[in-house]
Amino acid sequence: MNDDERLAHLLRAALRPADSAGPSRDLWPSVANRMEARVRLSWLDVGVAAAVAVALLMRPAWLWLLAYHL
Amino acid sequence: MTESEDRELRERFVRGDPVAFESLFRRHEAEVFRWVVRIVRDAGAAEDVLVEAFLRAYRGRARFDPFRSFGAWMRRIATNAALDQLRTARREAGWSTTDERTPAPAGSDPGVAESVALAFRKLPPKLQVVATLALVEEQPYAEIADALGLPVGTVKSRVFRAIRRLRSELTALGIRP
Repeated sequence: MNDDERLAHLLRAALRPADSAGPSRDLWPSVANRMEARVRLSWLDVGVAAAVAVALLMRPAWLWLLAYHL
Repeated sequence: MTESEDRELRERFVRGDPVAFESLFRRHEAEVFRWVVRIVRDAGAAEDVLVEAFLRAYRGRARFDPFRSFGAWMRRIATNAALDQLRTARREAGWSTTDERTPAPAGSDPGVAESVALAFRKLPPKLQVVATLALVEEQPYAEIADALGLPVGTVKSRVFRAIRRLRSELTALGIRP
């Protein structure tokens, strides 16, 4: 057994075996819930977007400030 | 399912059809889980990574070519998600020298096993991934390279660096690897 093989053997002995029996539960609902969560906008998001739009209409020069921070 | 039906399913997924996405999820879930658990070595963490990986796939579906393999694309996304999980776990654990979740397997010398596990956890995550897949799981370099989106030469170089760092850590701990 060469040095690399010995090291690999030590690693295999030290690390827990990968338990690959499969997920313990159905994971699709978690994926589906998070998919929905990402497309749902909160009232706060809408409010901030509206406030920014109004501010830019009133003071178009602020667009550069906004662009700088994005 | 014929190849054309398969491709149609992948095309529907790219267009954002959730039913097609669920079909692909059901078909590839077990394979992706087996791959991820090899990297993160914890079934609970692997479940979180799997959910995150499929979400990333859904968000990035416009970049997927339906003429190519969904499984290979998914494996690459899952590998990156697993790498991110290792980075997060490392940040949360800091430089703690003990990990109660990793008991020494039966039949191994607990002292040596603990030192080896400690040296392994000190590796940067990108070296941990290649060390796990190449040395522990004995996956072919080409397969690891494909999953990481790297040239085979880079994978070999990372394995070499991982071995060198492990040796150096173990020597410092008084173990001759």
